[in-house]
Amino acid sequence: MTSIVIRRRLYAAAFAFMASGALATSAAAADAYPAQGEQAETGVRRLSQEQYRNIIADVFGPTIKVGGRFEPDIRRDGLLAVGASAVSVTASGLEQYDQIARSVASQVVSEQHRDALIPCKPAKANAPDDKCAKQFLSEAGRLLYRRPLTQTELAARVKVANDSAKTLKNFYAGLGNSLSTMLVSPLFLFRHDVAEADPAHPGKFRLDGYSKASQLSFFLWDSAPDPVLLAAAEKGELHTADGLNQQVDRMLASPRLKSGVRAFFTDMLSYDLFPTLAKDAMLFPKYSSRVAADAQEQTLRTLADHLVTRKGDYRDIFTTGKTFLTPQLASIYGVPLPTTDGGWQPYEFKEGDPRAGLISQISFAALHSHPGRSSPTLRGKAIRTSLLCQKVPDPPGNVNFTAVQDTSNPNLKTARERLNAHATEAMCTGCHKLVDPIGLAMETFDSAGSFRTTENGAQIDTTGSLDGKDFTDAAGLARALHDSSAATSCVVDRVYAYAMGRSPARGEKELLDQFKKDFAANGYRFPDLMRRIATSDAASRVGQPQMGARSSPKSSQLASQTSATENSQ
Amino acid sequence: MFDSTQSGARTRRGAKAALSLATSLIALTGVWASAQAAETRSFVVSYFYDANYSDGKTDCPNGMNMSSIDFYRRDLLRVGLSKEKVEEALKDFPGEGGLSQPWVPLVMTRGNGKDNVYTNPETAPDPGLITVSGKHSYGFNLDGKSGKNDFIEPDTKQTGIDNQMYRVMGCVRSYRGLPPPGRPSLVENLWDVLRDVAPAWIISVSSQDSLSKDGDVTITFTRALERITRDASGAAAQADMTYQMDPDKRSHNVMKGKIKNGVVTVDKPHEFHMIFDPYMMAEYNLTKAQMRLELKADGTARGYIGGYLPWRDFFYSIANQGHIKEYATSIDVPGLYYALKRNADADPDPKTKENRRISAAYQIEAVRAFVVDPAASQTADAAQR
Amino acid sequence: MIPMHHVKRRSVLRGVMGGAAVSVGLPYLDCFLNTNGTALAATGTQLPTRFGTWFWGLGLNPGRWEPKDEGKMTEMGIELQPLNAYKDRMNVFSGLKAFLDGKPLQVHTSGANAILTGSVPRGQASLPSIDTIVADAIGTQTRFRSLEAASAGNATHSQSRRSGAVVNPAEVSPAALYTRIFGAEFQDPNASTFTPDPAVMARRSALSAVIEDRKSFEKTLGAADKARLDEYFTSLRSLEQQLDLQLKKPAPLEACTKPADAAETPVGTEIEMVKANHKIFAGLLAHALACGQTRVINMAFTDSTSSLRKAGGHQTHHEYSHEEPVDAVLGYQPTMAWFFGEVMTSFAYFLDQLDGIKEGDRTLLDRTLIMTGTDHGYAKLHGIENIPVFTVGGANGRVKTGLHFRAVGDTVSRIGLTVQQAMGVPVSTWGTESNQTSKPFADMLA
Repeated sequence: MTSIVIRRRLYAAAFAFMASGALATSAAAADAYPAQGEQAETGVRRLSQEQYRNIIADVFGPTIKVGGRFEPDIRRDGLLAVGASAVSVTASGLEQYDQIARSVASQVVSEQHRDALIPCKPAKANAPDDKCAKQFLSEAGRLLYRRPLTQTELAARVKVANDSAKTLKNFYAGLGNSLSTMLVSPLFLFRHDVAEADPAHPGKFRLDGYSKASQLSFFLWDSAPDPVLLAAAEKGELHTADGLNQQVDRMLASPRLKSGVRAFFTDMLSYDLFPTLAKDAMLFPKYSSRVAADAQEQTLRTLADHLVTRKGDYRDIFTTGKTFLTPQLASIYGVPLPTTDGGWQPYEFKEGDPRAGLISQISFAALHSHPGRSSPTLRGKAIRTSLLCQKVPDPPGNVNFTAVQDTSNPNLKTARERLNAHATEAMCTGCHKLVDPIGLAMETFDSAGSFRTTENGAQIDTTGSLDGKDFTDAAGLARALHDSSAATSCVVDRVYAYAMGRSPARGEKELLDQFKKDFAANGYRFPDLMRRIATSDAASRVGQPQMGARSSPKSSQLASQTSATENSQ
Repeated sequence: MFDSTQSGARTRRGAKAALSLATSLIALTGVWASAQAAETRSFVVSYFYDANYSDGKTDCPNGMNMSSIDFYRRDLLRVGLSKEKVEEALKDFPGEGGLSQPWVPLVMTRGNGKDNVYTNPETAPDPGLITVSGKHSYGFNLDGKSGKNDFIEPDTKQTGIDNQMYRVMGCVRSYRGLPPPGRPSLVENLWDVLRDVAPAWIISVSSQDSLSKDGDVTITFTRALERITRDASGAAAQADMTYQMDPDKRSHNVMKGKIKNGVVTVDKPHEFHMIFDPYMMAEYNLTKAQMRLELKADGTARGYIGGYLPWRDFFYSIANQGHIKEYATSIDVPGLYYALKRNADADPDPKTKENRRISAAYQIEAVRAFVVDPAASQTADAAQR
Repeated sequence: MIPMHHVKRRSVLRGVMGGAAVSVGLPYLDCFLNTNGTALAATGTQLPTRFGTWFWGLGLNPGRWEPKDEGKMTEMGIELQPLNAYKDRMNVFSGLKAFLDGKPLQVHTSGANAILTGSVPRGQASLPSIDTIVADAIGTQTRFRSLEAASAGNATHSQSRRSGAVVNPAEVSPAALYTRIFGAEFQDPNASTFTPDPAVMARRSALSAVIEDRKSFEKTLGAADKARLDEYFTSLRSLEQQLDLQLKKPAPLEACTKPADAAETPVGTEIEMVKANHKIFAGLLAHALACGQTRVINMAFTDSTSSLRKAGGHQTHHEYSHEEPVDAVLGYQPTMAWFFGEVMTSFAYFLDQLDGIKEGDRTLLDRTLIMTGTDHGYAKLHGIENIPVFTVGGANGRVKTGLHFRAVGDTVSRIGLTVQQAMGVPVSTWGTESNQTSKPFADMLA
């Protein structure tokens, strides 16, 4: 009973929040470093599959294969990176991690790789060698754990290597065994932030140097710190403004920044949903799993090119015609694309083309559609939740969707007509008002992202409005998004949450406002935003402002329910 | 190594130029189109096969030609093998079909016991293939006359249709297009295999005016640099893919024609060359070629091309694989030789007076595509969106 | 989100007691409930998991085998009716294809290679077939790493290969297979003494180092994160228990019985002959699994260019595929349908043999995963689209069954990837070029 009451109140809160069109930020709590004398509590985040792979490739090289089934990630408040702070490892998951670890370890110590990857040779190949084991395990361990191993930790690993080598009468097999236990250790699988007393603020706490290094590298590169960054951490350089700036500049200038930017947008744009996306092949014969992969790559390439290579204005991602295509994508866009090898080509949609920016791309139109028909509701909702960081309540129970789902009704030819019929039911109107005027502007893109002007022979009406701004088509919607302060505000919130592994707390409004001002002042350059967040005090602090209404357990649950019911419409 | 790098670079440069030209020309075409309303529609050929009208009732009232096992048995007895020996050789027919099978060396020399019948078909007597005796056939009136061997077109009802190739092949099981306008299984099969490896074939239809209006058109039928791309189901060609014209002019056919109610016709005779693949046909080389192509509202096109084909070219497209195509698709190769020779109806040899060409017709299925000419820097746009 | 580490410890504890932490725990609790129960069921047995392939040529008639609905199967297509008894214990995959990437279609082999090796080779196949990959994961401790049989009389009909063009030759004579398995060298699985595997012993003792890693966390974690670590260490405990099981003497294979001697039989391509030999092979292979002689079996009912023929007839199944017209009324090739009926009936018989052996509370089939292979989706055209592939059996609880997966236009190698993951092969990407995939059918994996 209690929970029902609470839920209802939260629905109301969500509506109020939507109506205001702004972040719910009343009554900011006081700054809340841990109180004097209290031990700081620190966070734990599970590595993502991509991070795991990146680390193995960084530490042992790309020829080591990482094969296996990873545990599914969980989305929280719009990001998997936030969900990573809430997931553990199940028994079947650990079984998989164990298999992957053993496979990686056996490759590392294999005859093919050992000379390159193990810095020493044992006295005898069929017996333990304490010294060589220690050297390899301390060096590899430092990179895998993102910090030096403690004496106890190292001794335990060396003992495993020696004991196993004895049992198996093989030094390398023993070493591999020890390495594989490192790879299943929670010290590797979880990012564990460690706090230390902050000398600049007596009685308060900050991330220690190594935790800071991890935070930077996972944020900017989607991988573990490289040796240069670890060395800087070891020397305490990350605690000085100069030292920190120097490392952040180095990392932003690295080609690996693109991996970091792509990882962020892969998360923010919910590309983890692509593997389960299906299209009716009878209706959309051009769509295939190949096209799905190309469509994601198109958007990520375009974003990395625009934001990193060209150092473009973030807002222009909504309107730019510059992109990259493969011949099969071009066939869906209905444009010619001669190539010599069937691969990627730069392409520019000219001014006035209906294809403008992110939301007109196949990845967006197709991901937020049903298998057999487009969905103004899903698209409108995706824009609100993913791009504007707004919340859209779930549809209530017991709704009759027949009017929306039946595309063969001769009286309701277009999605707009069907939705109008559906939304005459009072209980539906409220929510549909939030999403439909946006989503309907995209109706000229079918479920697979092809352009069309009619549906069932009837002309498609793409007029609509976004928070008071009227437009006549998808390009107009794209311009409205370009000019929307919610869009730039949203990406700042998301980047911050992504870096920190948690959503901004209520007490951090001022801080985020400052990030947003700086973002605007810097011409909305994305790498500058990353730099600003990476070098901020907030990123080093341990102990955040107390939780407020936005981050209460129930609102979180509400958010996850919202996504769970996405298919009902 | 050096060569391949060089040619690679050359192709890349070519494509880049083509791309920039293509994009600029499309923009230009837009302006031009509004002034003059010229229109081009382009297609990629998704299927190309013998146009055999097999209604299953009137086409082969005398039955079908024999299965390979049966004509092998007949011929081996004829050359003098004992019944026991023949049955022993054919006991496990066809087995793996390879040269080690006991029946293979025997059927290869079933003419005179020593020469290869596939290269020397005249060493065997004419077994007399069963040919089509129906009245209807797809194709064209190629000689402008109506003769006793001519057919009636089943759709247009035009008379005087010349398609002796259909007469020869129409009662071979693997060449029947059941039900009309079906794809004969062997040719469909070969095409389906080849289109994944061989270059695609592209057709552009251009008019100085809108193609929705009746008038003069130019048809370009040529080879592409790219292979065809299948759609997700794999069955059809993906629409709206981009193809570049092969600069090799040997298969570049430009024909003048007319469009009426969306149907393109070429009735002024043209030469037609389509250098293809020996697996199916090394070359479709047609004289006095005519064409009819219906441009459909859904962006696809369907029609026919017909003309006189050197019948020996066709014969060797079957015979060049020895016993393989023969046994697997039951085409009696010496029988085919005699039937083609007997039914050939054009191009008499000045000395022997023997006709060297045979009338034939092929069906075309095509889907909408973009066509770019990297050599001439021209773009033929697909149908407008 | 709940930044739990910012909440005072006591309030969290209160929250846990009061139920508010349900949402905190929800994500991993969900995983726990969804996967862990099954995972324990999957691994809490000492009876081994087995794998097999069953191959036939020329696919099926398109449109006549696919189940009506996606997901839970209510009704399979007419050509799968012989398998109806196994509907809830098998999975059907439709719409999948092999990609050629510009290589010539090698009729009758390209499609089979895509299914079984994840790759369409130019020229001869050179990558290992899935059964050998699985055998390396589950079959290294048995007398035979795998056993191959072919019922149409040719040892090269086997589709099993380690690498290169040469296949692991199949046994074509049931009598010879009998002697090979159950002859003088037969090892009674329940008689031998047990020696624990030193590699497992070493792994088991190494895990203690991971338990020690807990100490590195203790000091600074919030309660919610501690709960997450608890979950991790519970999982670790379960991993240890699995290894403990492997260090114990395996449960006796009580289902093992020596089959009756197989007599010499005529070998050929006439369908009755092929069916008769297949029946004997099916029984022998099932008994070989039950007696622990191998964990991987490969049965080739025919080769890809199926030379099956009706008694006294000379037209082969393969010739019919190209020459038989599609019946205008029926809409399919009727003689082909007849052959397919015979093929699927034989497959059902093969499954009957596995299902007829009871092992503990389940049957041998429940502890086995059988994957089928064929060459074409529509043999008339040599089509490699919509190739019919099935899996049968529960793999000791590692897979969910009774499902129809339709994935039009995806590479058929997705099935092999899924199967490998179910069998515990550490692989997340399989196949080459466009047949490469990282997308298993996750809903099939328990």
